[in-house]
Amino acid sequence: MEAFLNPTTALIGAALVSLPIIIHLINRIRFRRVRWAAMEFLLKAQKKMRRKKILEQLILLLLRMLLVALAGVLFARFIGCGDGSGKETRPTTHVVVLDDTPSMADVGKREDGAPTTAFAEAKRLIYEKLAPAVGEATTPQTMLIVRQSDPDQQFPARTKLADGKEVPRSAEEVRDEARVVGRTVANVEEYLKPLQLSPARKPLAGALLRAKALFEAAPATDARVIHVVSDVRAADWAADGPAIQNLLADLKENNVTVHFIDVCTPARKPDRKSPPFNDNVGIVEVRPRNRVVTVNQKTELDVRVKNFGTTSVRDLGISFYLNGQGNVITSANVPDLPANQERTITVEVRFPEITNPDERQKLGPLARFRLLTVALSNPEPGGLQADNARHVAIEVRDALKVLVVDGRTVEGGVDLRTTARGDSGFVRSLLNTPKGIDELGKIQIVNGEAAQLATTDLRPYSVVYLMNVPALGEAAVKNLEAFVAGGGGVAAFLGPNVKSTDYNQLMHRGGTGFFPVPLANEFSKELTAEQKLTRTLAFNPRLMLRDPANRAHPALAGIYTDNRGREAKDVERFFLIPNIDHYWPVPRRGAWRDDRSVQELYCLQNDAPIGAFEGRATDLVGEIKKRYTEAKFEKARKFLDPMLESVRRTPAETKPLSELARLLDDLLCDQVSLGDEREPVLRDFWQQPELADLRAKAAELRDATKYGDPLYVVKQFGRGRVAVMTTDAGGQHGDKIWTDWPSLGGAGWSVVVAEMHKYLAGGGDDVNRSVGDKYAAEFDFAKYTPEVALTLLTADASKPNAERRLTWEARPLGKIAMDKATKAADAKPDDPEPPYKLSFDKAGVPGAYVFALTRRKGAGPAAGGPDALGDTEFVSVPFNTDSLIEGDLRRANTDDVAALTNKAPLHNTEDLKWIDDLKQKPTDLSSRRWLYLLLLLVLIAEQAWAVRISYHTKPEDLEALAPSAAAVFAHGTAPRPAEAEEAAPATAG
Amino acid sequence: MARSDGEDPRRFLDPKVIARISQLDLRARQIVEGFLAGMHKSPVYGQSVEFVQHREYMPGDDLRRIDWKVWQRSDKFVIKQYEAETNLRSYVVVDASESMLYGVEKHKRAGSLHKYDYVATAAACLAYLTVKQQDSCGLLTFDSDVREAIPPRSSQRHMDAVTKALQVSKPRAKTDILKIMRQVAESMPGRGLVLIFSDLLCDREPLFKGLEMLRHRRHDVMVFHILDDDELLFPFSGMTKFEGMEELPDLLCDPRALRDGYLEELELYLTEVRRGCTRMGVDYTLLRTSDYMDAVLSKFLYQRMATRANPARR
Repeated sequence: MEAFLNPTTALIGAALVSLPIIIHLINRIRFRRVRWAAMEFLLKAQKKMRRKKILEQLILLLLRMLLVALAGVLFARFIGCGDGSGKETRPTTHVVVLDDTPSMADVGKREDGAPTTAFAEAKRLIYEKLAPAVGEATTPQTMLIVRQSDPDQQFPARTKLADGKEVPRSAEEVRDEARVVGRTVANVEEYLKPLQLSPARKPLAGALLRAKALFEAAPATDARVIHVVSDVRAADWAADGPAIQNLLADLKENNVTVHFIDVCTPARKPDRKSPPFNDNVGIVEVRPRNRVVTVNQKTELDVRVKNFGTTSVRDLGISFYLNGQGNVITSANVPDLPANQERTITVEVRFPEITNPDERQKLGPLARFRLLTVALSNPEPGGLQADNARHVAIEVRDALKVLVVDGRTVEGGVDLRTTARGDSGFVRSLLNTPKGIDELGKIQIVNGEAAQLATTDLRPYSVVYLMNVPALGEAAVKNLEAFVAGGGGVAAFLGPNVKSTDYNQLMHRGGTGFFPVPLANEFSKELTAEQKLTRTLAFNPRLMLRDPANRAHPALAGIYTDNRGREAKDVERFFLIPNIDHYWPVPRRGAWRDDRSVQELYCLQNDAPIGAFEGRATDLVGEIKKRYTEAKFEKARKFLDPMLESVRRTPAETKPLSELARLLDDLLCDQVSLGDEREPVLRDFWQQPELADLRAKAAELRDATKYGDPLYVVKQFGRGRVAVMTTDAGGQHGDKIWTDWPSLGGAGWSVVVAEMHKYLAGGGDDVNRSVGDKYAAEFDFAKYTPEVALTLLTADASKPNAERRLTWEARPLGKIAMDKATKAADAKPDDPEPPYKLSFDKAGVPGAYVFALTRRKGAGPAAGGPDALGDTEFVSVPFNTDSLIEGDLRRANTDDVAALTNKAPLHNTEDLKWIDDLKQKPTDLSSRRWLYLLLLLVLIAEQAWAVRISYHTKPEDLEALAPSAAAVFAHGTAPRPAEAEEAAPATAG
Repeated sequence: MARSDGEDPRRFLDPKVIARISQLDLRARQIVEGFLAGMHKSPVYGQSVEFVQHREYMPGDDLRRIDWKVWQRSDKFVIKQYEAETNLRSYVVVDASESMLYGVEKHKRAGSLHKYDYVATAAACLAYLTVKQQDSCGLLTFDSDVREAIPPRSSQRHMDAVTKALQVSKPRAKTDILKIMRQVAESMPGRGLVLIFSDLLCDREPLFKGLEMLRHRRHDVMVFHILDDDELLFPFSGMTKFEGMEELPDLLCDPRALRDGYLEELELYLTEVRRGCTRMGVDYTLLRTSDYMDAVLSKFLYQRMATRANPARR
């Protein structure tokens, strides 16, 4: 009876179905009697027509029963049978997941042409269609709304205000309010209408997880339906597809019905699997080279813009606002940005001093931070606005402190730190030159000592230089590691005083320490005079790029890029001059090679004797000759033969190894440009898949002959960076120097070291955080109090005024408390307390969030004079719109979504028939036209059949069936049978 | 047999019908034999005025019949033959079986005649006509057996006996037509006219055998096949139990469902009867109870009279 809305009528209908049978039976009982003479014909007729008549009567009976049954189905309002899937009659819990991520601001048009956004359509759909439809259902319905950006905030709210305080509500109370009645629908509208888009991108999986929890809290007898009202972007599904798929499978297992509603316009059509979408251009990343600079220091800013659209964009202007003020930094321009491409432009920026005393006073200690807002000057029409601007905060100090720790401080009563003979003489000179100040900022060099490194508060320093430092104590290493991990930079120049064993054991620690490479036990031996002569005559670069791709490395990019941002040519010509006589060899092979955080930027040339490679060279030549016999290599053979001959012959000659390396380079053609006709042929030759192994072998031999020991190695450690020069910085050791590179002036040492300094000073939090992401950091328990003051620096980039000034603000967000971790159970009483954990994921507005940590008394710098940073330490963390994902407005392919959602229905805003199912009412067959049509057809069939088989008194009928009888009535003569006519004369007379 | 008191036997002599047919003759279609000189042709050549033909004299012929005028002209002895005329001896055979009583109540309510009354009236009228034209007429009513048998007479008083016999012959029991035909055939010494009034609701084989027997005896046989309108139209509707007369089984059915089959069977039956009669040279007339009897009899008598002028029918 659950299959009928009117079960009583259904029962009556079922009873009435038997009515034709009953009437038939009554007719059989209530008969009249006729005494009949012509029984013979009747009996014969009955015998002859019995089966036919029974069948006819049966059909008529069935038609009449069907007629009654259909009428019964109509009036009893049949809603279907089976398990009721699709026609839910149980109480139902609905959870609506509302996508309020930035991409929902995508602009479209309604059917009436009015402009709208996906978010507005989503809200309208919920309060105009979904909630009223649910409200019309015949069974109790509960509806909860979960926002994707913040799944914990739901409608109805889980808390309430009592006596001015927010207190949690009971689950029953929440469910009562969620029960859908007329009032609830109004409440839903009231809740949704003022709702604004969140700038935070949160994955759908989080909201689904929350929905799952809500369903688990719902009564077990309830049917469960989840409505995901979203813009269904391809980027969302690409990022979170597997997680969503797993959760949907989980929900399905819990008998949750899932509906996806794509609210984007134009509506998703069944015949177009990939719906059209709006073009959009966004700034996806702003990365300053330095997060801490000095006033007016020249630094650079990388701005990455991406065109997510399908048409290229020309003359894309980029404006910069410093604390909301435009025209301080020159605007940039991207002349052409092709479709689905991104460009990174580098702009030079300087941060002047704040001259306005009011502003300085207003900002207080935060005046050291400059909020840099980067915005598109001519944003694309349509598309998203949220990704057109990005913020970053730069700390501007009066001077940057650099700690220089010399291995040798005083020698022979002379303070070596003040002379060029010292281990850091050239470095100090470099950092204090006017050019150095311009490039590197005003630098305050602080002399440090290795013995005090353990207790020195390193936070005020941007870079720590270890100049020929023999060894560091365990505590010092730990302090340094913490410094680097927190974003600091360490440069190490290795001289003769270095104790490699200590370095390896404490600082490298098999790759886990901050020191990037293990060192050999002894530094390199001095070359003989003959070797030095050979080296000089060879006129080869004394150091070289280990990998051509290193030109783009942040520590070298400045060297290989000219003032216009183009690649600088012939930089390595400077490297022909310097002599590096001693260095600390590094094992060529080892685990450090596989460490992705370690990169060998420069290496020395290989000084090994060329004869050692004769065998390998001959083998290689033999193997190539064996493999190049195919006809298709005929052209390549023409060029290969003389080259291979040179490779085979050269090791036997007394030539420097670099000659063999050059020949192999020419042969492989992958690092040099020959610029002649051989080049395309050889490259084509080596690109043959069947020669891949041979090519690897040749490249290996080339690398072995070409590259010597590492000279310049960098490592990313935590948020900081470490750079190691395996030779020293030009100090004089007795009457010897390890290298004349720093002293040669024009040989590029100062350029390399200046870039190294910028690279090391540019460490810090590099994460391109999005609003809603989590920031987590640890702070020393002994040094800070747990309370952290939070301030938001932000500006509204959408509305620059006539003076190109944005509305910007420093909004205090109150205080948050850091979590204190408990000591481990097996910790000793005198073990240090575990650090505080700062965790923040409540960033709701794009901007720079400045955390102000207060130092405990007595936790200031132990040495080095007054602390320029005062008692408060600041950490700025920028949070911006997740442009990379939210800016990509491509809509997910319908088939892809179907595959990921296990074919969950994906609706659009135009075809909302499915919502009628939620009403539960009109699902009975009386709303279907075909039932009426069927009823009519059966009625016509019944009547036609009844007429066909019933008695009718048409004269022609009698004429047809019994002409003899008809003739009597017509007073005519019955037709004479032919044979009778023939027989009559014969018998007559 | 129960006599139905209070009903005048002479009611079968419908004045309207009598008046209509009294101007007509009931003519035998073929030569009859009678013991009186009448209006019908005799198979015997005798003293009469109606010359038929000449025949060559044969030894033994009566010399008085020689046509001397022919001898005078041709010197040949030929004999003149004259057609003798005799009266008609007819038998009216009326079926008084139970089936003839169909629809008694209905007809009584409607004031119309049921089958038996109809044929009794027709039989009485034809008997009257026969007697009136000096022919002798006998009556035989039957069901499974002969119920009433009145030998042929030609006196006027004889009509009373005929009508009384019709009156008393209330239909009952089953028709046994072969037996009756045999009896009729045996009881008629010469050729005569046999008028059979029946609904013929019996087996066709004995019917045809009986008719064959009569025809074999050179009787002129006329069959008046009477059927009720209901039997011809089968107009019933609603569930009906048909109770078989003459010991036939009952049948409960929806008559509308069987009407087509009934009419088809009826047609087969009527065709078979008509064919059988035609084949044997029996005059067959199908009557229905709603037919105007005077019109029907008049038509029939006209047809009979017309046959006399048509030698081909002899």
